[in-house]
Amino acid sequence: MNNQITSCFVLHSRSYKETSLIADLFSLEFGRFSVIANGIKRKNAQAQRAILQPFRLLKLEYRGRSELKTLCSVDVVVESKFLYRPMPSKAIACGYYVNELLLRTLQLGQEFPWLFDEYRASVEQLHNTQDLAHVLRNFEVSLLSELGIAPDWFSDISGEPIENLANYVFNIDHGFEKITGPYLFNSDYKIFPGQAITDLGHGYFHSDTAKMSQQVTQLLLRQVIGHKPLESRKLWI
Amino acid sequence: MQSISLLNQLIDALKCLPGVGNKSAQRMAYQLLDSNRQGAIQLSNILKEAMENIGNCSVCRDYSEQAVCQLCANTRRDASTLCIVESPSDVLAIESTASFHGLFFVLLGQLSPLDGIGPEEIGMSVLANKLSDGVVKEIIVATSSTIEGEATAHYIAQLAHKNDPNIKVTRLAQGVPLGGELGYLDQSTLALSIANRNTLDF
Repeated sequence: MNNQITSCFVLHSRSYKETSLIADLFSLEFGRFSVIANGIKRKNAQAQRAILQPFRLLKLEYRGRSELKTLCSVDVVVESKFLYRPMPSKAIACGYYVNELLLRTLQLGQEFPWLFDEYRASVEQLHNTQDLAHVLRNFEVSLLSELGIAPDWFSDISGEPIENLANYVFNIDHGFEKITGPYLFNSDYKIFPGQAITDLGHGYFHSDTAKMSQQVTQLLLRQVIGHKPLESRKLWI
Repeated sequence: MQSISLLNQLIDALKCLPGVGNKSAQRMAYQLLDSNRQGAIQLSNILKEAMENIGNCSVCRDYSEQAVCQLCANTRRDASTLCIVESPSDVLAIESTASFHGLFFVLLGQLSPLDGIGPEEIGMSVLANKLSDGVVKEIIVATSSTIEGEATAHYIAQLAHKNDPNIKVTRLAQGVPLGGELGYLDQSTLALSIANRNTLDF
């Protein structure tokens, strides 16, 4: 009896032996898991190979009870808006970045249905938008919420609302802390304008603080992904 | 303690060939011992020599026993077009079509950041170096048609553009194969071939 997955994405795949492939998937039903696609690199499996690509909403059948499942068949989900259109090449590096975040933060075999929908929406947007940074920030915020480490974007640790023009530092245990008076220079802390923080909560970004918003999410994500550099960043020239 | 016999060592060594397991290695070893010792000696000599002497061409990174390979050294080839491929076997494939007369550059892999293969591993600094003299006017990116291949192509295009804004960067066409019937074609390829359709001349 084959099991079915109704919606999933390939996050990453690697060659296995001469003609097979192991794909890391992110699925609606089971979260992250891996399948082995036997013989998919053979010439007569070209159509399947064309489908089993990242950034494409797939449905598939698998068998097996061990951690590594065996792929039986795979098909694109017909209703998805970005069915057969390839990802614009400019967006691929961003897509890789999102995939790398998921691979480094999500536990195997745990389901994240809400995050899956966010991911699907982000991939859809990466296909369509020019403002790639915007999509990435919103996804990072969703990921932080799912992981349970998103701080309050609108009020600081003393419960006061975050002011756009004030400066804040991030305190790992509590949230954002307002800096008042002369600030002692300390290289351990990064200072962010309030605007960069509230923008993350609102989901829209001002061009002058977008860079700072990125640094905020970067700092927060470092708690879970560690300090090993993100490989996908190397794709930016 | 019993030492491993020479025969067993031979069988083990043969298993390093792709697609050769224990049984095939045994058959090969016996075949060579039984009836083709001369051939085997020749194979072992040439294998040793090849493994020791073949390096990478300093210009295109293809395998070559000289510092600059024959293709790159050939002055009759058109140095203004450069075809970028993933592997040395792709060079042979394109050469066998006899429809390309420019030079090659071999990446020896494709960008796959999540596997730790970044721009440096696929020789992007060598490529940037090669482009800096301004001889190349057109780059044909012949990477495979996967997401990795696409990412590689885009990276190369950016690199080339940064170096010379007037350079032409093209990518191999994708679409219906010769002799292909539409009914048997996968939808992704068909969708691409509709997007990249050609105008007919009349």
